[in-house]
Amino acid sequence: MAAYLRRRLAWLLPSFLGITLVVFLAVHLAPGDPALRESFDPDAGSADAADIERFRAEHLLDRPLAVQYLHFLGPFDLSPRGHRWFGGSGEHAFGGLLALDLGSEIHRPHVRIVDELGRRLAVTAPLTLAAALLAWGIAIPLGAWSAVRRGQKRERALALGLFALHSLPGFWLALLLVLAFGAAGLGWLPVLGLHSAGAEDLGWFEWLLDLLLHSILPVLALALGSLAYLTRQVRASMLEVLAQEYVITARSKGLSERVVIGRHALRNALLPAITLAALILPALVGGSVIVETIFGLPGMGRYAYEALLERDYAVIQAVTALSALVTLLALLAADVLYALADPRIRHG
Amino acid sequence: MRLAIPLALLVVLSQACGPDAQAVRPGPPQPAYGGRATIHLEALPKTLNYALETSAVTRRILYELNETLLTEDWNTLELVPNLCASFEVENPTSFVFHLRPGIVWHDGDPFDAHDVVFSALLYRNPKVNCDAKRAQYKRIVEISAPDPLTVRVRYDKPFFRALGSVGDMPILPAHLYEKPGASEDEQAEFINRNPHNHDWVGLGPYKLVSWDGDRIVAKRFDKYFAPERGGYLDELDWLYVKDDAAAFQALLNGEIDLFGRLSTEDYFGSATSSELFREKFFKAWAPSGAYGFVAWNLRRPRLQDVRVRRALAMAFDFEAFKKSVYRGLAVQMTGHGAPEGDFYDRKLAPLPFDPDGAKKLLAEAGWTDHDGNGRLDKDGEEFAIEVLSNSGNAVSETMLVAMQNDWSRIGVVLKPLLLDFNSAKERATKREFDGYLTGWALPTESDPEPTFHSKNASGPTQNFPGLADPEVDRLIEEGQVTLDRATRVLVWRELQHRLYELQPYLWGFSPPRKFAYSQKLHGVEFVRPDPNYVARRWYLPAGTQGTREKR
Repeated sequence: MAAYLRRRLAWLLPSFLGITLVVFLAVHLAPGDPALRESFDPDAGSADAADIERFRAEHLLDRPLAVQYLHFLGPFDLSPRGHRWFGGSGEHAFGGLLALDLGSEIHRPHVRIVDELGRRLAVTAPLTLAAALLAWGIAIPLGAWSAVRRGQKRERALALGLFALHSLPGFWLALLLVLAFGAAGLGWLPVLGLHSAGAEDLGWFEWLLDLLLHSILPVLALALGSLAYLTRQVRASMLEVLAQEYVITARSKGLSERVVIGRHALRNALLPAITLAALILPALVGGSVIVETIFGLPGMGRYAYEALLERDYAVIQAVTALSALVTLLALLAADVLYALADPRIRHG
Repeated sequence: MRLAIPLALLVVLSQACGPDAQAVRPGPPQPAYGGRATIHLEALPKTLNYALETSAVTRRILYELNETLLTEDWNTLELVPNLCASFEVENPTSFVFHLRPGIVWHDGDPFDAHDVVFSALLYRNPKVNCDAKRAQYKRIVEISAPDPLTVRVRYDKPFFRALGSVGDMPILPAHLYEKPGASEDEQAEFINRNPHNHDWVGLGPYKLVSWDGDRIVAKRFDKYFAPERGGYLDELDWLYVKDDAAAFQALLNGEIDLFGRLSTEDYFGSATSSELFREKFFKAWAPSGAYGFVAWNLRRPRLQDVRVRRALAMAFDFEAFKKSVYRGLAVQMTGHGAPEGDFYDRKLAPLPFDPDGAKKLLAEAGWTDHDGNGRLDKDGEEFAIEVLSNSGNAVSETMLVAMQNDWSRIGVVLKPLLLDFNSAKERATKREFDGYLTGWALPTESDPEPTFHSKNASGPTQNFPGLADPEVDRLIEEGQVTLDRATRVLVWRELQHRLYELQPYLWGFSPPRKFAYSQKLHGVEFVRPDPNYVARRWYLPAGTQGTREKR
């Protein structure tokens, strides 16, 4: 097991660096120039060439890609304010990913990226977690029921319903929820943000209730989006297990169907779910652009998307590096759990 | 003294306008103090420091959070004293502002002439991230504060917008932005990374209390220097919602009180004729000052011939497009400018829709269908033009399809190229297009030099066509130094006629901005200057729960 872990860990760093390099190149080779966006004067009607050059120099955009990548990677700051070894003023010697310093946003230098990531994660992570719990909470019993009732009319109707749900585009599903539960429909729920205006003046109980009411629709939209897929996964896994000999043995021993399904089949059927569950982690930091846009939530998905539109290289790289790291760690955790659960893997 | 620059012009256009007009409200109720309103924002500002930022949303918020030396009267559009009690125009290049005494910043510090001088001088520091406004204020060659309540400003040469420009200059609190004894670099860094760029301390009738994520909250400032012009509502919130459909639903849900991005379809359609909407909301429209156009790249040989550009305008059925897409609620443009002002000549008739005439003009320019394949060609080359535009704009995309259809009838092939905003802008700036479908949002009077003068014909400028016409240059230069407004109206109109004759653009439409707002708000007027409304005038009627009679 220790050797397996060492092997997996050894691959982690090169994989991570590989991902950051690919993202870095993709972002820098894509069209669009942050310097033009920053320097264009709508009144004067032009971007001053000197201003553009100054902006490029300040953000190292005039340096070779390799230098820019090393600056992003750290631990030395290679900018004019950076380490003296590399010709900087020494004011800010260390920086970059390896120095755990993600810097500031390009277009809002007063905003530290790490602070903004914290604010965005505080929105995205709890909502995604709640949605994942809800989706799994529904998918497991539904998937198991579908497997047991395989081929029956009710099961086919459910499958059809789930496929229909799966086919709905995310933004449409979110808007349908808004139409159904907002003032245009039942008028039961707020449709925007996480708090009402003036929520800061509420007592803690009303504040919490306000938060819960605001969270219902985004959590539903996120959960319903993945429900069909998860249910079908559980169903397929369950069907495979139900065909195993030990299940037949359990039945032939005269155990009740409830015990056979609940204790013997379902527990084993959920093994493949370890990988799927681990992949919730990247979603926790990645967020959903669509749900966050429709429900007005300042989360991670929107942060990355807006940075992409604004060509804020620093933010795009920070968000993708974080997502990549969490994805790699989640996959590692899944593999380790799998190895613990299934001896064939750790010895294979 | 007042300088009566702009225009006595159209102001209120509201719910009584338009074919689908709502019922006129009964007489206004007695205003009360208290309450809150939430205003929709279609974009989130990057900062509230308008010296560093050019976005319209920052400016809109600062209308209530900050003040300038002069302000445009909402009704008469004249420049009137604001932070100054009076001003003098000593000569066409020198102005003296006498500040009002006793004005305080939102943190309680006194405001004085040093704040104004500091705010003007920051544009001279090349490291401050105010590149977008640097050129505008570089024209100020001298600014001084002979005493704490006097500011003296001198421009390099007469310029028609000089007074308006300094009068509108963003003013920063020097006590929070100035770093005594700092080098140029340190001072710039202190401004660029100043936490007050986010936690703004201003001079307006509303004071920022929080900016958390998408919501910006401001409360009425009790020490505002002009209480008679201060707000009625206790709190103004601005809420960013990117998706317009979601924002409209939030309006219906009572989570937003004013939404300024109603589509034509919703304005005239079922969205605003439902019982729910009619019971609780009003709709209105007001001039936007914005218009769309296709800039022709005059560096491309096939677009250099004015007959070709005129033919393309004559082959597009503007009237049909206006009826189908805008339901008639838009102005067809015949030149540059905000169509509501008197600087723009609305009597200048557009070119007629005449496909046969267009074909004739193209034939004169050598473009005919030599090989009989239904497409025009010349010297073995087909007439195909690539029109660049931003993706995600439904009206632009519809317009491209309509043009493609109309022009195919005269044998011209249009190839649309839709890119995201930044990519499109980069290509446009590098002049990598035949046509560029985009738009301008203009004040009632603007300086045409950036967009049409030959000095901006190359480089990263807004003269997208690369127009270089001596007559246009002459008129621009004449208008810039003409300080008499009536004479300038004639110059700018002559310029408009010349530009329309040259057709560097295929001029499109100026649609109004369309609003929906809660009936709970009273005192809502729609005015010409952006953002078209004056939130400090809004109020809840006396007797509404949570309101009071006195401030």
